[in-house]
Amino acid sequence: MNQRPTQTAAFWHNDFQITDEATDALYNKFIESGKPCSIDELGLFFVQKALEDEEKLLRAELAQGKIYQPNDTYSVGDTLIFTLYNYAAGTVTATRPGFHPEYGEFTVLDVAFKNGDVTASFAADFSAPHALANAGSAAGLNEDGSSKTAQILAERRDIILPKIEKALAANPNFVQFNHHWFLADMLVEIQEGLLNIVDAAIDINNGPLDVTALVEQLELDGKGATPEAIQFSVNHMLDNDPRFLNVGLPGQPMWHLQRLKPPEIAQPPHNLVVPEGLTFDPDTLSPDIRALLSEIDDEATPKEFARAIDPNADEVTFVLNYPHRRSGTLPVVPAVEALLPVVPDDRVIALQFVDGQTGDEMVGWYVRRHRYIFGFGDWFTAHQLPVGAFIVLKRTDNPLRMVIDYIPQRTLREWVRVATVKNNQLAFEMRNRQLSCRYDELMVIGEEGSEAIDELWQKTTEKNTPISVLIDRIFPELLKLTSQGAVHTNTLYSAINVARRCPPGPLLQELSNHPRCEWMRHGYWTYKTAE
Amino acid sequence: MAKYIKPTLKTKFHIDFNWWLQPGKNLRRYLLAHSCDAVKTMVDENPEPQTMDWVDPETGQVFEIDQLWHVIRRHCADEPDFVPDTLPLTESIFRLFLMNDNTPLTPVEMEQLLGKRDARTILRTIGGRRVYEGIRPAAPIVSK
Repeated sequence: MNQRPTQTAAFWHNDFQITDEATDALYNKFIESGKPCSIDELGLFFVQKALEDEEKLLRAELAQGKIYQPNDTYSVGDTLIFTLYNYAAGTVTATRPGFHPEYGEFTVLDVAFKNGDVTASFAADFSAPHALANAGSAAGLNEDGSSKTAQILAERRDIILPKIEKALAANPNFVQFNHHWFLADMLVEIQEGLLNIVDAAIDINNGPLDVTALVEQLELDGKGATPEAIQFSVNHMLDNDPRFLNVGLPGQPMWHLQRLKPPEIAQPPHNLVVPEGLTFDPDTLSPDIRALLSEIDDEATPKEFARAIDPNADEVTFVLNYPHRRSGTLPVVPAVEALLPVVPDDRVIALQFVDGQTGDEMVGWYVRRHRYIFGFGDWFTAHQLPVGAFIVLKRTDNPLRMVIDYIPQRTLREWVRVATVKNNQLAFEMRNRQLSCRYDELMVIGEEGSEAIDELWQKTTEKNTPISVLIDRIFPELLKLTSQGAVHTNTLYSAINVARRCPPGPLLQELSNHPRCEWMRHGYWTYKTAE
Repeated sequence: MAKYIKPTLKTKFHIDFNWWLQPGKNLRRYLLAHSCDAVKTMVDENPEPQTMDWVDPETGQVFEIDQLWHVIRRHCADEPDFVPDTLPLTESIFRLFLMNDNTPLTPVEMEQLLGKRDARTILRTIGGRRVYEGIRPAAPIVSK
């Protein structure tokens, strides 16, 4: 059946353009509304414009002649419009009686088309049933063109929206912030000095502020501008000033100061960096060993082997490991990521965290690209949380706000593994420690002499000490603390990561291939010392 | 010359009667090969070719073709073995169009009606640049 050009992908790929006329119309739209538009709103606007232009063209063409229908009567010289041929016009050059054993009397028209040298014959006065008969005098005209607009945009947005943004970006009359567009002439004027107030407001807040709060601080006189125009103007100005940093979501900008940006969000803390080449092949692990991958929450474990996600969960509990304890960070494992707002790109997002015990607030910097959230060093210290502590994250109604907590317990003195440095080597011994939080007994590690451990980490990293060597040094240390003659994978993971960053996959591969390590099942390994 | 657009599984095909007007092509002779014995006898008795105006069921376009087209549709096409399994694919497709009076079909629809060969094989066979038995994509005769 008849298909308009705008109903085809080819039109939007090849023919759709942002014309000067359409741009003028957008200019007027901005002036009339006084409000900026999102790229989706602009998409609807330009699609609607294209449909209206097409409608006008079709109506003009239809005015030139009659729409061809086989059941109608035509004469030589009549101009016919063929809806099935993209509204091509043709002129009847001859007629003759038609013959078909079943159809009775009808006429055959010879038609010469205007574009090109094509001639063809068509039936007229045709009384037998036909698909084109009685198609209506306005065949193909769309009385409600706007009803298709949203559908076209939904189907072709990947083609249409980039074309619009490219055209507007090349036009100095338009400005954009966060895929919202407005007229440059309609930006509310913001004096340079007012930005110092913004700077001070963010500084005093000790965290990012949204545009509503900033507009309040600025006490802007928009001279009749709409609130949307004022907010857009502030966002646009801050976006183009290198002093400020947008740490919010695409639809929820939050402004912070570049100078207050912690260095740990530009580069991952060194304890979190997985050494280059430290990879593993899951297929080389036996199924029962591979299953252990999901028992340790580590952001470097491939998603398909990580702990299963409950998409409806409002909170998640995980174990704090040494690299994150030392870096003041949280791992963004898939279960944690499921609680976090969706970030469409590699931007850093500032999240507000509420201490579940005290109600105190702190900023956590979500570095999606490297799968961690920075900003919890003081919190770990304040609550004396050891490596192995259970950390709880809870979502709130605000996607940029979360609750961080641990599981408190009555303060007890307990025997735990403590990492120390002796003779330039990592050593472990059992010591009596006061703990007031719940923790994973397999992974808990007390720390003594952080600076010495840091120095050891640095040496290990500089020398690129192989994991197998660390196993030879650390496994016997752990073995001597147990009466079972075996050490659990989680304990080995926790201890090895005090000396060097090693995700569970490469560790399990090393353990499986190590000539002295023997798999004892149920997560445990033993180590054969030299005869 | 129409621009070649690579057909897909959604492209509708039909018999292009213009193709049969090319030198060396003879629709009447080809139709006779598809007719039943009774029709062949009728033709033997009245060998003079007669034409009719075939009307495209979708566009209204008219082609003057041999009346044998209609005779075969009426007398032979209802036979249960009009499209036997042993018939080559392109001839089977030609007979499909004879049965439905050349109403355009996609390869997927052809697969459903023929019950042999999958749609992709059908598309590979009739969707190339070489035209078999006049079977071509049902493209508009003019475009703007």
